[in-house]
Amino acid sequence: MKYAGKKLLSMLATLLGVSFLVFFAFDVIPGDPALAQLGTNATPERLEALREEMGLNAPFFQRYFQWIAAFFTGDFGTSYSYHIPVGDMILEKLPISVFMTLMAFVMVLVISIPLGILSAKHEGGKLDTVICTVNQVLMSVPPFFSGMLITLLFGIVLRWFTPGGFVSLEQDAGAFFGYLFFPALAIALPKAAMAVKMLRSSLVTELGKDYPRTAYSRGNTKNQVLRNHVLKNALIPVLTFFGMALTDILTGSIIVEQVFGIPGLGRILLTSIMNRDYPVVEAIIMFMAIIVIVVNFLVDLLYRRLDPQINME
Amino acid sequence: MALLEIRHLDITFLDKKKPQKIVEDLHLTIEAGDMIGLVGESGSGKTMSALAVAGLLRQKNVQISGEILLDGKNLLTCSPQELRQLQGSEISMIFQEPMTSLNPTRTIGWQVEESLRLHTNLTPEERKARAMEALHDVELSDAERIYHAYPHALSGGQRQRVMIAAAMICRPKLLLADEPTTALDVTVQKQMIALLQKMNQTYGTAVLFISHDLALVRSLCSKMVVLQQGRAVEAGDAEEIFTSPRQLYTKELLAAVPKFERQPCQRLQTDAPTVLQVSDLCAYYPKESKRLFQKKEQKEVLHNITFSIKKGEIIGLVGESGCGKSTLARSILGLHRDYIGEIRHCTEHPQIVFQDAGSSLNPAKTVDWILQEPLRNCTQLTPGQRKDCVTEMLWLVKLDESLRSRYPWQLSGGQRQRVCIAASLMLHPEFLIADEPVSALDVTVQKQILALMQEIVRETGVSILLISHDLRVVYQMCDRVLVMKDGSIVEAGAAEEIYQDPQHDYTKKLLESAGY
Amino acid sequence: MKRQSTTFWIGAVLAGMVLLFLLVGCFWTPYDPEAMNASMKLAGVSSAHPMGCDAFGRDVLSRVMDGGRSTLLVAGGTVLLGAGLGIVIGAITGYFGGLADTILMRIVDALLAFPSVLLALVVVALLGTGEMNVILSLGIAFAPSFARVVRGEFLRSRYLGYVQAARLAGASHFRILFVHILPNIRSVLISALLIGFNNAVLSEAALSYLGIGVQPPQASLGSMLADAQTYLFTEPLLCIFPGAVLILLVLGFGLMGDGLRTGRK
Repeated sequence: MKYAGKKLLSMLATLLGVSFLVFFAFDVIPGDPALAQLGTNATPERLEALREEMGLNAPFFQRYFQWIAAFFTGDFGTSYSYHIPVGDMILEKLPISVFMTLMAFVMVLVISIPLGILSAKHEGGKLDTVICTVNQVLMSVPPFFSGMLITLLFGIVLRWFTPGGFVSLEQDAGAFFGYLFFPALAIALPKAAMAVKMLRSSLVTELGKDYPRTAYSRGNTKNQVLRNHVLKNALIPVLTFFGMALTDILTGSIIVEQVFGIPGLGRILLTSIMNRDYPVVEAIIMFMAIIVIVVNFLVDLLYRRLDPQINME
Repeated sequence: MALLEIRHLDITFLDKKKPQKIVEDLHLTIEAGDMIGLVGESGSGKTMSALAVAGLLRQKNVQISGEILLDGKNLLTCSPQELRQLQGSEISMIFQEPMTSLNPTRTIGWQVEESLRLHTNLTPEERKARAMEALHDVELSDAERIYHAYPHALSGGQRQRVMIAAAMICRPKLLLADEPTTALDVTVQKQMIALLQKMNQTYGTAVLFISHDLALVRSLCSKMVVLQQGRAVEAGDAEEIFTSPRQLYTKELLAAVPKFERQPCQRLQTDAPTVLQVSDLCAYYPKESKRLFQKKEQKEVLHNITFSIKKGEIIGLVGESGCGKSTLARSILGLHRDYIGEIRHCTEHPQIVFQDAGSSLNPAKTVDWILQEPLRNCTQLTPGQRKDCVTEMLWLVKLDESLRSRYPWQLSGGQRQRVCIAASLMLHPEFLIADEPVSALDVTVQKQILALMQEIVRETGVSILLISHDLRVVYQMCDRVLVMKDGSIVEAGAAEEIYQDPQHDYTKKLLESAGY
Repeated sequence: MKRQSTTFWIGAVLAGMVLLFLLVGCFWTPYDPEAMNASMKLAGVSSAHPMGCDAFGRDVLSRVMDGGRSTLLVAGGTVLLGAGLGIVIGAITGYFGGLADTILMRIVDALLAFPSVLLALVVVALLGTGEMNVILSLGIAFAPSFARVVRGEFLRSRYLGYVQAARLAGASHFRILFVHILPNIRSVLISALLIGFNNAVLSEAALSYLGIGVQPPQASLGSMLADAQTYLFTEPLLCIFPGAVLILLVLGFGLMGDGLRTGRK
């Protein structure tokens, strides 16, 4: 538990550092938010009044602490372009991105673990070669292109779904998940390929160690050695990768949303970047960073559960 | 009928471009309850033979012919299912590295019980009872804690005991022991041998004991087989082979084994200048802080070490792993700076020869480049002069000129250690530290390197601090001996005196374990 | 030294062919990649236009060659910047350790918390679009992962016998870092560079697909794919060619990196 506390503190420190970087970065960029809100033909007096009202004249650190304090109370500021609270904008779109990310992540796990084991079991054989080759090709396809190919194949040729025909969760939950399946697959495929490769090489490394030989000498079959001895050890290094995959999928969803015309977080982020709507950009980036940091924290804890050697010290 | 009969065993590895014969025409018979030794240097095929018997060589790239009969059943031709039924129940094996041979993420109990789970129908409670019994059998105190512990929480000796417990739990007829004591300290080694003897006597389990250590095999086994490059060169009664070997190779092997022999004290000039003086040295390592905001603590790993080395002297530093030998060496070299006390030496660049010659030579550079490096950094010599120095040094360590353009990985173990010695002598230091310089080498090579070191001392007058766990090597080589335990020097003096009349209990125990 | 595996050579041939194709594109393209021709709008594959024409009647082959060039430029610049920063930071923190290590690695950890595309988006949001900004943003985004790899290698090497021997042979820290250790970790470095290059290619393509990389009318593989998506129903071939070049390039480098890594064991 001491370890968890230590990690929790370090996680909070990282979060604080990240928030500072984000705030600092958006503070130093040229451009005046007040000007952006009023337009170029505003009078200097009105501009100055708005600056005062928005708290832009306060010292840097005061503004930073105000921002971070507001952030923790759920006040993420107001969008420049839509003049509505940023929090509402994000909350509305969050479920789409979260569901898509989780679906893709589950696909990565479901595809990669059995295939990785199969590939390692037949190391050097025909099946292994086929899996490795397919892997290498899949890893080379950028997710937005695999998204286009999936649209082409399942949407246009096979007509399993209607490209661009996104249905929101409230309208029809079934159709919502049905539609998200294909974009999730597009993000999951390259990640799953990478995961198969990592798991395979980790398994092969473990199989080459001394303790599987001990296991064989007691009369275990290859399947038993893989399942009871090697898998747990091999998963430890791959765990970090799964953590990273989860966060990569989350950011990858920004792009894939674009391919499939899904109005999720990515869509708002991109339009906000184009419109220089900084409060929205800041908030979304902070959101994603928080998710990434929390996932890393959880991976660390899981790591410790799996590996008795770290528990020792 | 014999328990195990090996006939015409050939093992060939097919993975290289041309097939490599590892074992050729091996014959071996083990009667029930026998203890047989299989002796040879590295690459002699002794481990491969054992793996073949254990059924662990059934791979595509290995071709095995001949017969291995266990109770008349041929292990090479039986089905995988039949083989697995025998593995762990009739034949079991223990390995050289108890550290890596246990699964790091499973509890000891789980691993000890594994053979029972695979070969019997016992309930979990019965299995646990048997496992506890087995742990007691191998003289592990605190068996309850160990049952639930993971391997990393145990010492090397405890792990090997666990390996033996797991191997013996189904009461096999044959136990294959592949260098089970090599990775362990001498005092632990002795206990492990006693344990194997006890298992053999209590349960009548036959043991095939594989070792490079002839003396060990002699003390343990009734019969032995000597292997050289995959062929059995001599086989028969262990005592007989040891006292009157017939084959040339066996004779060489026996001659190379370090013994408690030494030339009578050659040179102990009391008026020689002192080249190294260590006074009241205490060294520290930072301790991992347990609590979050705790102040960093330091752990004292060396306590009040005082000794000196005179010119032309070889001093032995003896102790078991973890006693602080390496920290002492690193402090003298200036690689470990966290110490108080005084280290005075007149050499600007103290040098060391490491145990593992392979990793102490830069793999990306040639021998010539490596030997020139100290000169390049510390002298103003021209490239031509440097070349000459290297030539001279190669001659001193008896390496052929043609090796200077080779990379370390193209050299044999002995050649590498010679290069290391040469590199350490390039700047003509007054003294050098040799940290277990021969313990990774085969006995015949070991003998050559030790002779070379003695010759170098005679010729150059360099002093050597020889760190070793092998009391015989130290006895042969050294004028004076320091015995170290838990960071302190417990006894120091002339080699003869210490070996003849040890004062400290620990020294006595060490000498007894080494069979002095 | 040791022979490289066949995987490495297959990758090298593949990557070499694509590179050659794109290199030619730097000096010569069959048509002006930006010249529009209304009569050739969405013209199919023909002997005059082996990859057809896009919605503005521009020759796709010429645009692929030209767009690949800018992809290479951005990816190359990114790797140079990222690897340069990463190697220096990694070498210093890994070898010396101590306070500098703690501080720099904290920053690296914080930066690693941003996935690279997200970080690039932030920088583009701050500095605006364009080739140089993409290089800068991706370079900064990639530096931490390089630093991680390099630091690990130096940390491991620091305790090896030959490094200690080099210290005792009187070598300076600088000499140990760059003369003794660096040649020994080159295969790790090369495969990290190859992986980094691939990630840079993919990220550049993603950014220009989103319309925040290279700006029109200049061609880029990513933006060509974005354009082609509009005509996915009617002209699916339009997306195949730029996509294929992208995949072959990444596949080639990926195989090379893979071959190197397995060859090292």
